[in-house]
Amino acid sequence: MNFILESNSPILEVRSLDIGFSVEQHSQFNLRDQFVSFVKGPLNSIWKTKEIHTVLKDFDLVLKKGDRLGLLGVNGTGKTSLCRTIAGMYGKRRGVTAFGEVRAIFNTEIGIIPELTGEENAHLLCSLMYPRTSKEEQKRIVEEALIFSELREFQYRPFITYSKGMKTRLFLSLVSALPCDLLILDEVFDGADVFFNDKITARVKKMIHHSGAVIFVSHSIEHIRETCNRVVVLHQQRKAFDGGIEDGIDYYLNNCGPMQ
Amino acid sequence: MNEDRLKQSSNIQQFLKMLKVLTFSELKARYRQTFAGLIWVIVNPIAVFIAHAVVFKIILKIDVNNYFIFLLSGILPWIFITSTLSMGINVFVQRGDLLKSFKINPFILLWSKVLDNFINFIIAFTLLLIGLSFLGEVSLSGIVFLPVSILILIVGTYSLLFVLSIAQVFYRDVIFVNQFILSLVYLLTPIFYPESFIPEDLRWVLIVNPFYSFIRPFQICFWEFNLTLFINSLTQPMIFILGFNCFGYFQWRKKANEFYLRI
Repeated sequence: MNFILESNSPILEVRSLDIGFSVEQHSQFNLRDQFVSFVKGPLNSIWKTKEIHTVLKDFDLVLKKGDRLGLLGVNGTGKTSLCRTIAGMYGKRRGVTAFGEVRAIFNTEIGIIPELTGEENAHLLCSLMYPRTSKEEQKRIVEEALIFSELREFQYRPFITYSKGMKTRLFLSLVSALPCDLLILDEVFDGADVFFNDKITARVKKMIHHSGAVIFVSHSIEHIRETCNRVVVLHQQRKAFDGGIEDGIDYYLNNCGPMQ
Repeated sequence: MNEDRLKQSSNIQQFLKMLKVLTFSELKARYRQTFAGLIWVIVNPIAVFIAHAVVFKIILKIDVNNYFIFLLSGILPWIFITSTLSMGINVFVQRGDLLKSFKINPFILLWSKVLDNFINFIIAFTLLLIGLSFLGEVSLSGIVFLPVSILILIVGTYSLLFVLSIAQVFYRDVIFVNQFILSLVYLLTPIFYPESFIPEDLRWVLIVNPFYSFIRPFQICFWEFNLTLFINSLTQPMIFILGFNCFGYFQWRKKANEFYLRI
């Protein structure tokens, strides 16, 4: 069951979004230090200076069906924070409206309960990732993912004994099983070997093709070029560019380097 | 409006479905690792019960009617609460990678810890209750109200875990402070001696003790059941539950961004 929306209807609207993190100066990371600090200076401890570290300011974005957006920006420009905000991981945010099902993936080496077998983890992951699907459908997805990831012979081994690449294979095979309205992939192609990478890239592209819209975060210009039809560049806490692929890549390479 | 309600009910259904799968998988993982694990989680509370029974009933000769039932209905819920807290407080930190990998409701991890421990608690409690019924101590007059008292116990434990597990993300020694506080509160909680043993002028300690307020309705159901007493015992835990959940929710809303940075 998927919820792909009709063409031309917006899948995501982001209006005037600000993302910031409150950073307490000299903040204590344990209660003991907090207590010592309170005893030393009760007033300073209560009225601590709070600083807001702004990641993004006044960000706007509209995604429609068929948009495959590549998000570019150097480290720390808020790509992951933006994706998490859109995915709703920080709770509901004013200014962010997603129409339909959003699926966001930030790490592909994860097992839910590593002590269980690969197959059991695949089932668990499937039920957490596709809660709307029936048991039969989930079983089919897991079967298919195990075959696709070429991990059939390892399916009864504990997940904890899987290599980084094997974990990535299994996760990506599961994640790419069903399309959704908005798919967010944040640097997910690292980890698998070059042969499987080609195979999974083709499969993810197929899923992307069937999904409503995609936000694709990668430091690989080649992946952005192959996958996307639009680029947004984040620079100095703002959306610095929104447009075509080649222009976006040029803008990123020419304006976002360390000396820019 | 109807659409919103449908969506909400479908979200709850999905949450419960995921919770069921996660809880049973955790149980499966634990018991597969070692059969002794299964024995331990059941034998541990039974051993604690027997040790208390021997010390207080046989050695100290405490004068309380149906003492074994009183002890069972107090000490086992206490073990349930404390073991849930010690297993669950660090869960966000331990499962940080999972929470950051894709969108998953973080609170499902807390509920799964609560239910996992609750299943162990119920098995140990039932075994001991059956054992005590042969001694003729068991009275089931309050059994009808058991679901309410269990609900209070479960939701109360979750509420405490909710607040403490979020605090643990920001202050990494909450888990140790909790252990220290539990060792003090254990002595101040009338679970192995009755409430009447506490002098009048010290009764206020019970008012500020959330652990006791969550255990009390359960205890009343099995030991000297009295309907008025049972109904009166419901107000205090409800206030604690409301307070903990409001506090936890506002902390969560305020710090959700930082939460993902710290785990």
